[in-house]
Amino acid sequence: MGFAVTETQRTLVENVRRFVRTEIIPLEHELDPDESELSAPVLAGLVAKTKQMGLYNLDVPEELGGVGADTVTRTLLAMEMSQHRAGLYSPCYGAFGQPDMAQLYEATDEQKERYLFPILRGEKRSFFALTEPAGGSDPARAIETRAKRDGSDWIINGNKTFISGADTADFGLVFARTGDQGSGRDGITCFIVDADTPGLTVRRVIHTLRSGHYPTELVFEDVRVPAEAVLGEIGQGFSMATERLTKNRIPYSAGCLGVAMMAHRMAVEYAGTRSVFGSKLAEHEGIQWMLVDSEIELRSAAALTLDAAERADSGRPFRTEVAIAKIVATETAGRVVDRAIQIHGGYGVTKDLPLERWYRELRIRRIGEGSTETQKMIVSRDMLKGRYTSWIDR
Amino acid sequence: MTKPWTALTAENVAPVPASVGVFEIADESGLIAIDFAGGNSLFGLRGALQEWLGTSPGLSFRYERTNAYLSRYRELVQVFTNETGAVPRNLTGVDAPAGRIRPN
Ligand SMILES: Cc1cc2nc3c(=O)[nH]c(=O)nc-3n(C[C@H](O)[C@H](O)[C@H](O)COP(=O)(O)OP(=O)(O)OC[C@H]3O[C@@H](n4cnc5c(N)ncnc54)[C@H](O)[C@@H]3O)c2cc1C
Repeated sequence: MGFAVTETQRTLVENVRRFVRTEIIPLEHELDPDESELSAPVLAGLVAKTKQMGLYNLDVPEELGGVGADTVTRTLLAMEMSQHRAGLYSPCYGAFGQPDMAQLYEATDEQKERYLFPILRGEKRSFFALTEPAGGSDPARAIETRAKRDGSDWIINGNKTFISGADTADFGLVFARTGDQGSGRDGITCFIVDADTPGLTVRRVIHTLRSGHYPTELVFEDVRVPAEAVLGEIGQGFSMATERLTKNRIPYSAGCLGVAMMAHRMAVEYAGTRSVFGSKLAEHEGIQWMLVDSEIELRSAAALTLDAAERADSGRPFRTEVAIAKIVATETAGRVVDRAIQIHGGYGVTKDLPLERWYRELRIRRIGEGSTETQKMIVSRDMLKGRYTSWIDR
Repeated sequence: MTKPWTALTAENVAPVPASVGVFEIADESGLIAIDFAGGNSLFGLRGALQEWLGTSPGLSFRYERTNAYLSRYRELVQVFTNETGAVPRNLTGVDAPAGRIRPN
């Protein structure tokens, strides 16, 4: 691990920290504690400020008009952007740009004009439809949605589940098995489907422990799309889906650590002010040990996450490191927030504080974007096949 | 929501739980409002329904307790909008949840 924060990165972190504390947290006093969205005019005002700061569309390559930040910088900033009530899933409510569907970087010029650029300008919303009722951990085998050729068109039939935001999206990326294009990973093609295409139904919102977020169930009944709807190459949709998911798991893990850092800071402050049995909470060894455990775990998880980011940027192998970081960051964050709740006692579980929200939302992060078990599977495969031996010799 | 409608009276609202959840209000013309009692509400569903007492005669209500009140609220508005082509009256001109859903 040879990691050092540069002066530029430090300045960026400080700017984002100030933005979160002065622009975002005060807004949340007015919002419902579970809300994940701001009204359009308020969001537009925030976006104007992040554009002025030169930090809008952080993840997007420069040639497409974004900031093109490297993975380490994105990771450091993700830790900052998430440090407010809705931060885990809606960092700054999208003020730094919406999730951009990096798969569309592979699009044709015409597809970019129609779909990618409107997303980058914040004019369109999208969904990403990979998971199906038969299973999400192993989508290559589970995908039963089929697309068949009809002349130059394709006709899609099937079901998707747990698809975030499809009810408000303008279009989505839909992964479907394409007839005789091979089996498993090779038989899957990605289609760009407009949300108002006849036959595509958003059947219901799936209610989860995360209030204010809307995964949905989708039904495709003879959904006809033209040949131009194919994104990338026929039969190559799956590798396109997974390639970028791996790298994006690093800032994803960092977001978990950000809310946990904030929860930990709240716990330290509270322990220093609240008195029980004649002395401050912080003077009781039982509380001190909880705080120390959280400090140690947070530092370890942050080091692993930044190590994975640094490897990704330096062109060395990083798949195993990302999997380890994702497991450690998500599990650590859950434990740290749990301890912060315990230290706050009854107040910890009220909606007056953001802790209960993070406690619920972090639970999802051990399942989504590659569950703990599938990440362990990646690490064990790499270890047992000798692709990964020890961190020091790679 | 398929629960039976109850007349909106102080007596009927009093035993409504003070928890978070969603509710609907109807008059003789049909459903006029879909709303929720969220994490900022003082007395949850009971408090939110009490605000409707005395606003106009002949109202009725139904409710659902749910911790996922925002998603359920959004879903109810979307289903209503899909079926009737308009948002419920209480959301006319305000920031109503957008989106589409077509339950079958
Ligand atoms: C709130 C939310 C939003 C989501 N949004 C989207 C979205 O926008 N688009 C999308 O495509 N998907 C989305 N998903 C789906 C998500 O990616 C899947 O839920 C996830 O991949 C797990 O799939 P599954 O739920 O089908 O579980 P399964 O694949 O059925 O797995 C069940 C359990 O078995 C475990 N398991 C799997 N393999 C192994 C193994 N080899 N050994 C041991 N245990 C194993 C899993 O970890 C899990 O605990 C979302 C999910 C949630 C909860």
